[in-house]
Amino acid sequence: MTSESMIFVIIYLFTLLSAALEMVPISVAALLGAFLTVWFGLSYGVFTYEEATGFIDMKILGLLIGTMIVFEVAYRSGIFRLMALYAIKLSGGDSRLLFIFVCLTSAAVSMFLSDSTALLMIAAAATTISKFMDQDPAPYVVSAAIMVNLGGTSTLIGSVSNMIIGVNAGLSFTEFITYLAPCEFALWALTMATLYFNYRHVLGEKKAVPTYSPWESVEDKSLFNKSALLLVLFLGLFMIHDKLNLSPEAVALGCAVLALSLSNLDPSDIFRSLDWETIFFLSGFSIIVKGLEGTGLLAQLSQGFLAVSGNNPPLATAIMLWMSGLASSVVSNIAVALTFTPMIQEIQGLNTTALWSALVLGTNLGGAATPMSGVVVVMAMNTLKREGTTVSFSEFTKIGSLTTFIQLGFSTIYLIARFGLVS
Amino acid sequence: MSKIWKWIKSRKRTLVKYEEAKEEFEKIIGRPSIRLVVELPTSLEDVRDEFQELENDEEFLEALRRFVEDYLKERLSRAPQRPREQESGEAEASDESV
Repeated sequence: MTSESMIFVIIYLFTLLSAALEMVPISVAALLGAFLTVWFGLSYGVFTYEEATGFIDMKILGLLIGTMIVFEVAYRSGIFRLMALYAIKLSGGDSRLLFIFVCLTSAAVSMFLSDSTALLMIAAAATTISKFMDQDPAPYVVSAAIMVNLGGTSTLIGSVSNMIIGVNAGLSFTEFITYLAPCEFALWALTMATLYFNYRHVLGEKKAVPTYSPWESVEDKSLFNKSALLLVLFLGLFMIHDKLNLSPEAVALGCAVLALSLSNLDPSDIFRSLDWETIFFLSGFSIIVKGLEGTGLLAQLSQGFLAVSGNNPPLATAIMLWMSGLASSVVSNIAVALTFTPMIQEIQGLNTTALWSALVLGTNLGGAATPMSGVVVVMAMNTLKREGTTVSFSEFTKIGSLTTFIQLGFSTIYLIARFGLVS
Repeated sequence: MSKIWKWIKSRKRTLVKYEEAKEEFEKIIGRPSIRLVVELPTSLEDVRDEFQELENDEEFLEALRRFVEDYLKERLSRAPQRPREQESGEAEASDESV
């Protein structure tokens, strides 16, 4: 390894470490790393200034920002709150049913909202109702965090890592669903069964829930109707965007403009609510990875990956799945997706669709193995702390790592069967 | 590992969205709550610090809860008919007269 490569590796590792340990906010860590990458890259002549200006993928940013705006407007209309209120009402005070509905709603809502927004909303619903029913909110909130992490695995817009992989692999919204939706729904069932088995003894007795109409929560009916129609249009356009020759980011940004125009909400207020931490982390880390790519190191790693897997498709897919899954349980899955994407692009002679799918599953499933795996789990723990309940590190790791291993194990079998990797 | 976890947990996190969402859910399925702003009485200007500490004084908060309970009970006992029913009855009557 040359001294230039060594500097980029150090910047990369230092950024990952400081973001994982939250020594500084993750956005600041990535922007600092990006600054150093550009500085050293230009000093050593690894890339030119013109090349550096193209390091941030505007397609991914457009898709991310457009999707965030559409879902922020939908969130404010109360659509997702209505779903949560119906879930509670349908349980009829039966804690077992409530547990299942909380799990299902968590996964469903996180297909649209960012993981942190989905978790905070479900945690708020779960703590409110469990307090009313004199129950411990911990099983509901911990399970919600695990299900939120799982939800949205099979859609292009389900997570930031999916957007990075989808745009780089050229996978359409429908291709994503075709390849991964059966696996995601099977994982919902498996994970819920595991969580239920783990918590079945601590779920309390049946207790009457208050009588209410979920529709009471919808304050602006006109905004609600417009948002519902917009969501249908948004998803409809995504289903056919490849047939219409529209890129995903064009659909997202077009619908975002429509949402801002029709909602009558203050645009500056919507813009303030966007997850800028993620947007800046993605931008900064993209530059760091490009710097690393410029040294040829990722191409070498790609060759090393091929050598280890021995050009064996099932083994290569399994390695990609588990490697990205385990890496995502320690560092940000956005960082993992950005690092592995150029490696897969270098690979020839293997079923790359299976490898892309393995990367999608790995980056999504690793986020809830331990309390430090992802921000969604840390937020769940913080909400519980706010409510006077604590879940220890080992307590969460026990259930988090169990569900992660089950999910990764099942996904390995699914990918091998789905892509016919064993001849 | 648990030390790192403790440190990560201690980092400040924005739970504003959580508080907002919880307020919305509590309005519908939980116990309603109200927020009040109480100014320092002009006659107590010299006990500014003691006044501000009341916010976290459990004894004071408990006394306040008891006061709210007693006040509402007494007020309701003075007016046997529920004010809302009375008001809606009056509203209906005025609608009819129009």
